[in-house]
Amino acid sequence: MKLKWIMSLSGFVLAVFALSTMLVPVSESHIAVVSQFGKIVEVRKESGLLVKLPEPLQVVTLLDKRQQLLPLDSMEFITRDGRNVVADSFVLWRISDAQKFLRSVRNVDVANVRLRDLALSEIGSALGNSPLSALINTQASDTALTALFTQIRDSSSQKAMEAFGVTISAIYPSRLSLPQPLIADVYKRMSAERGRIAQQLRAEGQEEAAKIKADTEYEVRRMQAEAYRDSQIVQGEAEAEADRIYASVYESHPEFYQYLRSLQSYEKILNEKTRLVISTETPVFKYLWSAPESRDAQTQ
Amino acid sequence: MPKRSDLGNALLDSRKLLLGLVFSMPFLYLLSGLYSVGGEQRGIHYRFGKLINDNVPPGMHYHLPYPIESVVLLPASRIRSMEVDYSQLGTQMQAKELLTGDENLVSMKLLVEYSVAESGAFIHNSQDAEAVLLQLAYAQGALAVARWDIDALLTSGRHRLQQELKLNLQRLLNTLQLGIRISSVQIRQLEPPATVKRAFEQANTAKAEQLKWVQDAKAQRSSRLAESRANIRQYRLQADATANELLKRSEGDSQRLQLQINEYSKAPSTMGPRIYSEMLERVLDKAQLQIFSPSQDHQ
Repeated sequence: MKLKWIMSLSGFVLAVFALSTMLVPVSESHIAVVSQFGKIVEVRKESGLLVKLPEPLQVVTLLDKRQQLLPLDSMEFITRDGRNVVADSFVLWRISDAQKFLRSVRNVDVANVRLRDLALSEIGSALGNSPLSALINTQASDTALTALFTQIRDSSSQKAMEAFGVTISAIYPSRLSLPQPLIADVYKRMSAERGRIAQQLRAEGQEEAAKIKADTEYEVRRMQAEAYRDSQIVQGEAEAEADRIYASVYESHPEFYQYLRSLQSYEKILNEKTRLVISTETPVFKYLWSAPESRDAQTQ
Repeated sequence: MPKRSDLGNALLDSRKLLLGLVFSMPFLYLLSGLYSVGGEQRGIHYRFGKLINDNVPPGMHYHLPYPIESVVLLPASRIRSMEVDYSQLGTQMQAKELLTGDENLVSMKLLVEYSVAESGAFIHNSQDAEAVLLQLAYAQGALAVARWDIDALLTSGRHRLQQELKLNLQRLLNTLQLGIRISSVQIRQLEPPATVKRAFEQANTAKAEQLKWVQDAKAQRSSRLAESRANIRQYRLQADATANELLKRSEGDSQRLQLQINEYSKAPSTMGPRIYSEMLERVLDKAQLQIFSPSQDHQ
């Protein structure tokens, strides 16, 4: 009776243990590799419940199948035209062939070291194959540099897949710069360029201001000349009209006009300063000494 | 024995309690699957590690108890932000600026605002989606700056650059299936390197001076034109007035003359001498006269 109890209890414990090692939940992030006495018998990429033989017979290894980030140190590269560029870059990779991965690099740390070497050499050779001007330029639509890194990614991914079962989903430079000794020169050049631009701006400003002033002067003088011309025309016309009006009257009785005009002239010519010596025999004084005679005497 | 009956009673009581406990265990176990999702959260529902729903909405929910099903809560709908500062990259000794398309250098800082679009992809497609996002943002910034010249970057291109960065970054995130939606990419800082900042400021001052000169010249022009317009107007009016005066005088004079002529024509023998005498009066009144009489001397 007591033995039976012990037997059934130990049987129950064993069953629970066997069941617990036979059923393995595989998460979305993992690949499950089942090996039997060190030999891989199954690779499961799908998540969910995995059923295998209990623990000592089959062992499961879980590998992370998510994309992993590998930042690469700042490196100096030389382009085809002998220009030096500094690039910080990174690799985004994931385990694709678990069997190959386990056989060749075993763990992530080793994989990172190998991937680092691979990526840097790929970037180096790709940059070394094109001149700097093909990589950076001022055409915003030119995506040569992006295309170059896509190409680097593709070739690295292919090599990584062959060598250790890893695919590379992205390789990009996180920063592009120049080597430290060249930077001082760039600063100097940039300063000089700004100085030149400043000078040019000032010159342009002065030129435009002078042009505006000259234009203004020209316009003012043109306006003045036009006004002078118009006023001369108006006055000339008025004079002509006045002459015409006078003439129409003069012509109606020229002798009287002559007479009247002469009288007016005398009036103008003679003034307070004029000294006249007049004989009493002038007709004005005709009646000064002699009273008018009779009509008969006069007519005689 | 009263003592024994006490113990018996106590045992009897606790046995009921224990039994109650034993019977309620399965219910408690089943109840352990109740969970609530907060307002800003999304639940991710797994069965044996397999994702069955990555978008459980806020509220009370139930999952089968451990170890069958489990739930992870993620603050998914919150907008997060991340600073992309290039000075954090590289070694201490290096200059922290980016190479532009015309081989100049600029220093740049971005701010990326984003949210989790697909919780499942966000958690399971990369080890650290946010770290990847940061690197991708660095990369897109560096690649974009290498396609622009420094003047466009510092002046007109800012807005376009932001749009371009947002677009490219989102496209890349979609390709890599990181489950992130970009709300915006803002340029927090985009300026010439500190060493040459003074030269850039001087160029800006020159630009302001240029504008000022032109503005001043234009202001002078408009006041000068207004002044001369006023002068010219006055001049024209004077000329018109003079002309008008001339005309009116001539009309007046001629009409007066006409009247005189009319009178004269009527009686020339009386009017001629009369006008003559009037003139003499006026003239001789003013002039200094010396009158002599030759006929008297003779006598």
